[in-house]
Amino acid sequence: MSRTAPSGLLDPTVLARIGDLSLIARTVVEGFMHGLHRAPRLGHSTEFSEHRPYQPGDDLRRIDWRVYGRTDRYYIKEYEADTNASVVLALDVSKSMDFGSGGVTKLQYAKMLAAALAWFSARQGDRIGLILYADAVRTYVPPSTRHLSLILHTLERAEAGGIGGGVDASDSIAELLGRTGVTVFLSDWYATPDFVQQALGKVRVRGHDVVAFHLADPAEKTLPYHDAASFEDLETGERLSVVPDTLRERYRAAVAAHAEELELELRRTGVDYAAVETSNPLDLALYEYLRRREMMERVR
Amino acid sequence: MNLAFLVPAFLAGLLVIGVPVVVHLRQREQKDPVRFPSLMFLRMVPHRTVERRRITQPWLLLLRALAVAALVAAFSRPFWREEDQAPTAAAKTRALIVVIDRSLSMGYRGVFGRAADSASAALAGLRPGDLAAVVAFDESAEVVAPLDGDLAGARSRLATIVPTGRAGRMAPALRAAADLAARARGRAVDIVLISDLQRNGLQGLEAVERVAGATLRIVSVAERNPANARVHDIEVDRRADGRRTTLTVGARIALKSDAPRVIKASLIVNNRPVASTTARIAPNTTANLRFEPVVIAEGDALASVALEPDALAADDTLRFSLASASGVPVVLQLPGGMSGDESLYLERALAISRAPTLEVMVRRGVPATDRDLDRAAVVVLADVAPTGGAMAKLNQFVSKGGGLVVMVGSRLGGSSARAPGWPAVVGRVIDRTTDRGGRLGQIDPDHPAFEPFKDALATDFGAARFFRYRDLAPDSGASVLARFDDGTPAIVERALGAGRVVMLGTATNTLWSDFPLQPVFLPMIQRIVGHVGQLQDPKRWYPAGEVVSLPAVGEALTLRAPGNVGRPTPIDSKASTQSLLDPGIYEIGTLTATAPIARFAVNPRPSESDLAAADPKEVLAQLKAPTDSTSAPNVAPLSAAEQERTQSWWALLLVVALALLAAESWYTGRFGRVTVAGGTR
Repeated sequence: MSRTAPSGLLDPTVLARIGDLSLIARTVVEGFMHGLHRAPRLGHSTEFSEHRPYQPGDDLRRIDWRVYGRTDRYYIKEYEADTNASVVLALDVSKSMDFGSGGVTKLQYAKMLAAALAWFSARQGDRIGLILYADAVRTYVPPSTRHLSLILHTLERAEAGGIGGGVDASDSIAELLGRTGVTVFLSDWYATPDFVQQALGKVRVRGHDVVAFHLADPAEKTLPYHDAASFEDLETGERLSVVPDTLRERYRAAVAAHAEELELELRRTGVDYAAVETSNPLDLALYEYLRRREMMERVR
Repeated sequence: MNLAFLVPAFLAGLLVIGVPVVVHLRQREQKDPVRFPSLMFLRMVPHRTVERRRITQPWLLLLRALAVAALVAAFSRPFWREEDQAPTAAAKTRALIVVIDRSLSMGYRGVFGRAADSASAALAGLRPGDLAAVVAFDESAEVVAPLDGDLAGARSRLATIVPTGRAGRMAPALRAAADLAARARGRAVDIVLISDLQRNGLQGLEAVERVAGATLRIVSVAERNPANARVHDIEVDRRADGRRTTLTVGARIALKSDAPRVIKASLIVNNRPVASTTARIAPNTTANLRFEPVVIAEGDALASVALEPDALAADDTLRFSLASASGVPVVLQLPGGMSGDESLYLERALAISRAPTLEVMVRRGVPATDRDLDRAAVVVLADVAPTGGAMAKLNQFVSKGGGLVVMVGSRLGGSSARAPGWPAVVGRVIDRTTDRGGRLGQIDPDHPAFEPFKDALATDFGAARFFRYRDLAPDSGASVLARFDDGTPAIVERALGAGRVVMLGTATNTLWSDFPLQPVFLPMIQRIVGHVGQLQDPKRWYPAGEVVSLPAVGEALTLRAPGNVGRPTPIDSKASTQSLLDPGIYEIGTLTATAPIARFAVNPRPSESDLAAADPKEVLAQLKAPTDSTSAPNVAPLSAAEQERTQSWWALLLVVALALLAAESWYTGRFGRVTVAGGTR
């Protein structure tokens, strides 16, 4: 099975204007799937579930001829997906996520990405759940195949607030994730790499496959400011007088080093790390997720 | 020389340079904080507050500072001050003689205002006890205010001076100033000459002596880059058509300007606009405009070509008179047996003459009557000779000033070969058919009849072939104007009394020559007729300052000069000429007649429209040194304002400032900063 990267035409700033997360998620996933040229149920075999009487309109190829030979009646074979995984989306809604230098904030981007992942997983037949957290867990939607609309509705109402970025809430999150499955974290990870590794390790040890999306705004990475200014921390309200021109290069180096170290630490723990810039199209992130899932499948 | 400023207070504006410096220093933070997701990484990066004082974008700062400096310097009006050359006369009382130019060129927009301001400023510097005089000049000088202590009177009389339409000459004005200076009696004499220093007005200055012991200050109020269009001349073609005449006018427009200009010209006849046209004229060139032909009533008329007024409006209109379209009467006498084909070329040549127009009276086989001779200015005998009394009357006609042209062909000879008063005896026929015809070999290029062909005589006349011609034997009082290539006289002339007689040795038909078929035939015949008849195209306009002869009508004459709206003034009965000093229409009449008997259109001298100005030093250099060497003349230095105006560095500085600001815009656009919003809230 070969896949190619999607076209990358799903501009987050354009999608953000749609407003309806359900529509956004469907647009992203359908467009993404169309780009893949492949059947939607990817990597999953099917297994016999039950027989039911033939009804006009059923596919003749699904008639069980052996049963017909035995009973002289037409029965249809029904199957059921055998790998219904539990996918939990853990979304950081701390105040630092409410930042965007372009048309979309990190939180908006994360909500759209989470919605798309939820939609996608629902199509796969997975059970999907949602956790919104900051310094503590704010909202929890347990995994279920019927919770798609609830998850989308919860995502739409989510607002930024609080501090923390998931490190403090990691214990609570780990406790909520009972059954093994896939946990997808979406956060800007404003914490030292070892803290992040420690927090996600708690989830990992419970047998969950963990994917950590590291969301970043372009301005966070490049610091494109010139005038001397007082920089205010969105979470704490602290201020710091800064002349961006004088420290830009060192700032960029620090951010890059943090990302590198974070990726290294998480990989070491068995967490899949994916850096996502909010200026990139959503389907790129989706593709990244899919790639991680495939790798997990192969490992299993 | 040292650097000085006319308005040094503006130099305080240099403090404004501090503004861009402050802007380029990084000590100021933005008023609103930049909301940022986390200060985690900013805290990780060490930075020192001393860096915040660094100058940003030094090249941009330099551009801005220089632009401000150039602007401030321009407004401060810098100039190089010349060292004073004259001893101060502060201890003495002064005698100030203001000599102000009021010629036509001073009417250029703004020029006379500056002159008046300079004169007022000079008078304002006087103190009680000082003397002042005002001399106004154009072609001549007029002492408007005599040299006395009535300073208020001098100022009020200065206010009455306005530009005239006359040319300007500085020499008479400086002489008048010298006369006034002689009456200053021991005072320090200052002569202030205020003029646009037109180069044409410098004529005769070399004969003027500087006033010994007096300072002469020359104030140039000339426009720096004057642009001026004027009507240089007109060309008129007026043809009779029954009781009406068709008038076609062309105008030559001269433009003195560094930029091309679209010029609209109007043709006005008897104060009524009748046609207009527009043309684009290239810088510093002349162009010919032609108006559409218009039909006007027969008779004398006054017309003008007017341009849209420009900075010097006085020379934008050229007035001219239109004489009646009826032509000069000419009698063409033909022999009875001459066919129409044979006389065709001569008749047409005379009929189409336009300078002047001829009214041709053809007399075929009959002699010209007394009435014909009374009317006619010229008689043309085409291969015919009057006999007896007719010949005597013809000679009498010529003696009184008439013109006679005789063309000899096959019919003249024998008994008619010699007539009294003719310039030559007509001899035998010389036949040149065997050698393909003769040519005109020798022509007098300086004769008025051939003057227009002077530059191309060989080309114009060399193509004509003469197959037959008469052997003319010139009279002792005659002169040969042209000869055939065998030496035989071709055209002979002599004076008879007040008139002239010209004889052509060949016939004007195509049997004797192909001369009538040559392009030169028509103008040459017309020139010869005009020459013998002493005909002149009527002068349509006169330049100001011209003198004209007054008509002799046997009674007292009156004059209505331009601007004279009242009753005409009587002219001295002894006067035979009249000076036309001012542009406009001069009407000469009599005490008894209501209508004028002569009208003269007068326009400004073309030289006055040439606004090329001389430098004050050039004017001083032309003046003759005073004969009294012990009291050498002083030349007063220009005042600070005059020096600054002469140098005008402010204009250059302004251009530099604009260039710097343009460079600043370009630099900002190319390398300027990009401001990023502090984040979405």
